Amino acid sequence: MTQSSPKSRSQVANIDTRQQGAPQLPLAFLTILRAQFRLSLRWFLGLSGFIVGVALALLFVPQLGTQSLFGVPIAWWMLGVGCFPVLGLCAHRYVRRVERLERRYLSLTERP
Amino acid sequence: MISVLAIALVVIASSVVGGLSMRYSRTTSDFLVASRTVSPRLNAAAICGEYLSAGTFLGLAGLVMVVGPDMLWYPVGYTAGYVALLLLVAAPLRRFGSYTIPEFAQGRLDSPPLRRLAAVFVLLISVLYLLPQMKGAGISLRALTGAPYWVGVALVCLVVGGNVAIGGMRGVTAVQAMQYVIKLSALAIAAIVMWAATTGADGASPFSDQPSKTVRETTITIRRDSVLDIDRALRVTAFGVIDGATVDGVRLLSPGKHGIDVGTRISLPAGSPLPQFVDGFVSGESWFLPFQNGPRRSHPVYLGFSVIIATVLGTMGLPHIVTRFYTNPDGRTARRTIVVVIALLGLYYIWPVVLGVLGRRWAPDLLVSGGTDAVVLLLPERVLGPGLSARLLTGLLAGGAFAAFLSTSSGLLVSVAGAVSHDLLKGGVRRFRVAAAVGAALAGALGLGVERFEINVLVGWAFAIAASSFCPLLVLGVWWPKFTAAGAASGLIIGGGTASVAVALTMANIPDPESWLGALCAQPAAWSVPLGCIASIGGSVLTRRTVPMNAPALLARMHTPEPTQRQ
Repeated sequence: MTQSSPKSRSQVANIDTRQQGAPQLPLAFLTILRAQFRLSLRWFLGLSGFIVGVALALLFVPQLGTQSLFGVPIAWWMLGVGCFPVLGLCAHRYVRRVERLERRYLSLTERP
Repeated sequence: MISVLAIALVVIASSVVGGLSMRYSRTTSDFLVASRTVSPRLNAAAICGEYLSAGTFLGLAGLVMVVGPDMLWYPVGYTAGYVALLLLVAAPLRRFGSYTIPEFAQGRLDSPPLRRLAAVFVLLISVLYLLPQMKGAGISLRALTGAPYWVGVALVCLVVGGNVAIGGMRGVTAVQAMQYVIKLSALAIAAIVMWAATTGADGASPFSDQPSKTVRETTITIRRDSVLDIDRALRVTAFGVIDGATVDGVRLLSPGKHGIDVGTRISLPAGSPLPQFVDGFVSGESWFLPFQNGPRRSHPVYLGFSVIIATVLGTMGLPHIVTRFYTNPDGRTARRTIVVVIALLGLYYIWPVVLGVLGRRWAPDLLVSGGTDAVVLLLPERVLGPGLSARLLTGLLAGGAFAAFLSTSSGLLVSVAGAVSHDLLKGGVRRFRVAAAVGAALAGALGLGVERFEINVLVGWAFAIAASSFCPLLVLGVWWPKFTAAGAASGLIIGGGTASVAVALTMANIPDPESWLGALCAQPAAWSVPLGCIASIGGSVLTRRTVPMNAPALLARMHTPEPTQRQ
């Protein structure tokens, strides 16, 4: 691997881990790893549930295809317009959650 | 003429901005990721500029017009793919600090052969994704100027190959942010103007069971044997074979059914019904309903769910998108960039759908002649009639379309050149440049052969292979300490390999598209992604002695937030 890359701040902040074998990880880190994993997993399951739910609704509620709103079938509104704000909101809320989690972690570890 | 000017303007602007940045592009890291100095908003616009390809600018409207609402899953999946990317891998990948997926694979799992294997998949996905861009350029230039198909392909190859070889990625960051704006405004203005022009127009709603009829006098070249069913006598001009007899000029058809042979050119007057294929319907019933069978499209529920899986999980595995990610200064800005990206995508995707619906109503003859991928460009004249306003709109759309081809192709070509020069060879700016030129030529040559595939279907295949190969690699690499190089390799080979074979079989037209096997091969993601995950996990469990010693430390690097004292 070429190492000509300028190291970003985040990497410099860490010790170069490659030479160190497998160091004992601090407990605070294990906690945040698990917390982040649980957060990501929960939101990903939510995302999957939302998408599968929309698909199943379209599959089993034929009225969504035949009933119209302003001349456009409801199914087209749902997929063509409605999904996007939900996805955007989901992303926005997740970022706020995960940043709060990280701030809490930093406030625990950065104290002198 | 206006269209040619618009295309020339976009091409020249792209080249000039790319060329101006040349003197700043000195080191390898400048070339690959713009030295990580791009601000989140500019970066988000650039990501969108790079992401929104011929597939959504031209192909999506065409597919919506043919298949109906099931195709709306593509834009939903393309957007949800960024949410999945954000939730599962974004910040950790950025914090890891590699430029590309192959570099991540090697750095994380400590295996140079794995890097080369990953680079092969980068090449495969990038080239497959380049082909629809080439097709888009070829058919657009032909639809606008009558030039042969290869002219558009050659034009895009030359401009993109030259740009990437000279400017690298820093060149294309500014260009691509600009190209997002061009694409969005072209589609939005065209869709709004045409929608406004058509409200109150007489005629059936596109969302109805009425069979489509021609809106103006329309000339069609029949691409499969068809039947024209008319309830009143119809005067047509035709060159070819009707009812088994050669026709060469004006002909009065009596009420009833008339067989039209493939290859016949026929001019139908306004308000005439359209010929229907002998082997399947083209227009009419149930087009606007979800999960319906369509022409050459059985098993719609399986296909729909498979498209969802491919697009949602494939986005994170697209080589040009992940590379673009490293231009963020840190993990936190990487996340924020994605939120902006999702908003920008939502703003964009409504317009191709509007254009597809308008196409169903105003250009239904394309369903018969098979030119639906060009519907976006042909629509202004159909809706507004010949005149200056239609020519201006067409010019705008032509400029936007070329912005789409150029931007996506540039990003993909950077990935191709990076994979060849840095992962397969020893690296260096000169190799990068040569690889970019060779890659552009190769994509152009292959692009000549894909005209018969729908643009957005080609794009979907690239997503399916990306989802089957790189999604398990990235997700497990980011979260699972016991992941091994052998597990990653078996995931790539089994998941990505089988998906690639399935796509190749479909391209070679081997399985019957109506059969279950045909459906499974046409959209492999629903089975190949689970297969890739199982192979990755199974392979890792079997080789658990080879877990890299530094895996916990690398996970720590990926999941430790940046210190807060930054801005």
